[in-house]
Amino acid sequence: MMIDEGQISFVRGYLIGNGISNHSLQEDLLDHFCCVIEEDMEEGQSFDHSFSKAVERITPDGPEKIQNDLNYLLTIKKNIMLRKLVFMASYLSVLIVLFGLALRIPQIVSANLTMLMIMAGILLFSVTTVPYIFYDRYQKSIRELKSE
Amino acid sequence: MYSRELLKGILKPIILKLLSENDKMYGYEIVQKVKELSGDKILIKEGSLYPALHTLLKEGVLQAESISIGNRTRKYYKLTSSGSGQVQLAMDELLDFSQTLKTIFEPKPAVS
Repeated sequence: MMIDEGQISFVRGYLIGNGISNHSLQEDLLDHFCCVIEEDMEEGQSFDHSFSKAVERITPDGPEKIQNDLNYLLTIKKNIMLRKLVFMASYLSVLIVLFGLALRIPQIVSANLTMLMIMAGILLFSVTTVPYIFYDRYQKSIRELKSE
Repeated sequence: MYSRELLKGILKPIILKLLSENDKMYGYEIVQKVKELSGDKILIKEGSLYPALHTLLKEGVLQAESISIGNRTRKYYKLTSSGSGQVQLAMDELLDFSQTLKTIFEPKPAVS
């Protein structure tokens, strides 16, 4: 027994309304819901009853959890690499500034060179660590806003 | 029925094995097939299946083919040539792991 177009639209509305914005995942889940509902309706159950059972079985923690898990899996490698790079750049920038300061005091190298090192360190910190901190804070605030 | 924690690491090898034996499969079909083959002991959660399928798609292990079924689209997954090459490796690793578990958990004969 195939479910009708209105019932499919209802299921699609449930998925979209509960955070499934990834079109490809939406198609997968829609088909899966339809298969489970049709199987149940074959046994004489109503659409409403079958739909509730399918929700409990397929998305017990809510549909958005599946999309969040998918996004996590798809971005985890990239995020780890990004963090590694930012931490390395932060360490390098602090090291350059400290070297600049350390060499400036005993006047081992010229004041111009140490000033250049300090400026390079600050610049590196400004273009790597600072934007990353702001980006990270932005992502967290979006997540908090969505969970409210 | 096995716990979700136990099934976590074996989902990808299961998908690869099934797709190596069947030309193409869709999500619901995979869940039903695993349930049938395992005698209802392995129930794949949809919340784990689709993230795994989409990750394998992104890694180039699988490819998808969309077919219109009435008023909806059904996505069939199949192995790519690179994915086919990974099946045996995944099977060997899993079998080796299961042998290792056996040596750890099987009761050893008492030494007299």
